[in-house]
Amino acid sequence: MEQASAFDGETVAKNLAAFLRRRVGAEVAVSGLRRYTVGFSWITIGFEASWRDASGPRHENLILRLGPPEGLFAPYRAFPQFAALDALSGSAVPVPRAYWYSEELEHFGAPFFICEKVEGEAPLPWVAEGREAFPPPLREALAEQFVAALAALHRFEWRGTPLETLGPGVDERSAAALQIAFWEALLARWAFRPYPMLEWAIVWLKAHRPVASRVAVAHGDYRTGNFLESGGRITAILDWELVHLGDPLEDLGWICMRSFRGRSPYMCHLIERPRLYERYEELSGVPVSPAAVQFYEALGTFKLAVIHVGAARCFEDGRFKDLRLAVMGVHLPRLMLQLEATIEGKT
Amino acid sequence: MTNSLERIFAGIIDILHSRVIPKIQDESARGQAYGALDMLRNLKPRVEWAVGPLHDDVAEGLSLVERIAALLEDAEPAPPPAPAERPATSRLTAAELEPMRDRLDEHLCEILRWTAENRQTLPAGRASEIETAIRDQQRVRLKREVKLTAPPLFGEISRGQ
Repeated sequence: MEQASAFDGETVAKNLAAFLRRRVGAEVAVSGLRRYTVGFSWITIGFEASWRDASGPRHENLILRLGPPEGLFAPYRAFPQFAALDALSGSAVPVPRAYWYSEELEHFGAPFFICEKVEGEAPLPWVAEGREAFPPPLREALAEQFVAALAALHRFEWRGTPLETLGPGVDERSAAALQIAFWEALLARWAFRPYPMLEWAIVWLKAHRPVASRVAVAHGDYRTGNFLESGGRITAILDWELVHLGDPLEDLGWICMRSFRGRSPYMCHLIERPRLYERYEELSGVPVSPAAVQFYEALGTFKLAVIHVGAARCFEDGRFKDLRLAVMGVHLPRLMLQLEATIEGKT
Repeated sequence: MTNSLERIFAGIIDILHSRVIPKIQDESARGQAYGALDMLRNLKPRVEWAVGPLHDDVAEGLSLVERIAALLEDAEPAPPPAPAERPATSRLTAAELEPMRDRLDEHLCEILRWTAENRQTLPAGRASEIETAIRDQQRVRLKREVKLTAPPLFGEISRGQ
């Protein structure tokens, strides 16, 4: 293997060709490499692969996702994302088809997976204040699909699939506590100074843990920005890096966070809160407790604050030379104020 | 700010030099980028974080720690001891004020954990009074920080345009 660098397209292309040759049993031409700017953690590279097999010439548009050893959540595992895409393939949750994955470093110097490149653009949740991210007809169409895909995910029967391994020991009573503990541990690992507001939030979260109505597959980062849209249709739900077993309302709380809507009345710029609760409940069969959603909105804001601390730490240590990480650190105070407001129910 | 000033300067200089300038095709634009790089290298040893807000952080922290100590004077079990900080003076530098602020914040975190564990042993309302006092002080600080922070450009950063 040649040492792959995210910034060295030639090396990545060479290593891709070598990996694919072994997998498809033929010479593979790799071209059109494009590194996407989205994402602060995994590196996403689009490419085209051409080869010839028994049925004739093949040409595929593919995505390589690499978990860099120096990245935000390193050390990474490719399995959870691959397992989610693989298990959900053919379900009512639109996902790219997953082809290969490996935790070994021999191919690219990082855990990785390769999946189909799905047609569409990823609309972002960050728009100028006072502006809407979508015109009303598109917003309504996307909102319905957005909620339907989430409901389908939460109805998905994960027992008996590889997704069972994504939450050892999680049950209805422990789901919230496990997530608090996970993010609290990351804060302890990443923080290079104490944050009393985050400490207070931990105390509050521990004292207000809801009991889940069921354990479901939680996407962990379900929001505008993590789906592809084409012609008014959601073509794929992306970025399964934080997928785990947990309380389904965790994803609902994440959707409702101010960080993904600014001052818009539409959660994730898509749907008003009462309608979101109503439609989600209808489609998923999961009862929506507003208090539990508020809890998960607070936990989500805490989680996002911890990710910002982690980003700043990653930059401070010089592990990942990406100025976007330092920028995240700059906005931590704003997020901590949002966290307090969310806990106080001022959302 | 979350990152150190030194690392921010070093990071911007490194990224401009290694990742941005080599990709600029236009000679005039590249010259301007080198100018920015030169300026940053010269600014680096001449600047430090603004002392004013840090001084306020420390002064408010000391006052709060004193107030909490009074509220917990007879508490059992004994609460975490307050750090032995001297009052901040306007002559202290940012490099001296930052660790003082962090020690005070660490104490406030310990107090929050202690209060959560010993809530039942305190007089009615005392735990909430302490938590509210800490939140009030932190909120003032965070708002002061946000006032100094430009609106985020997350959209432009994500799109690269």
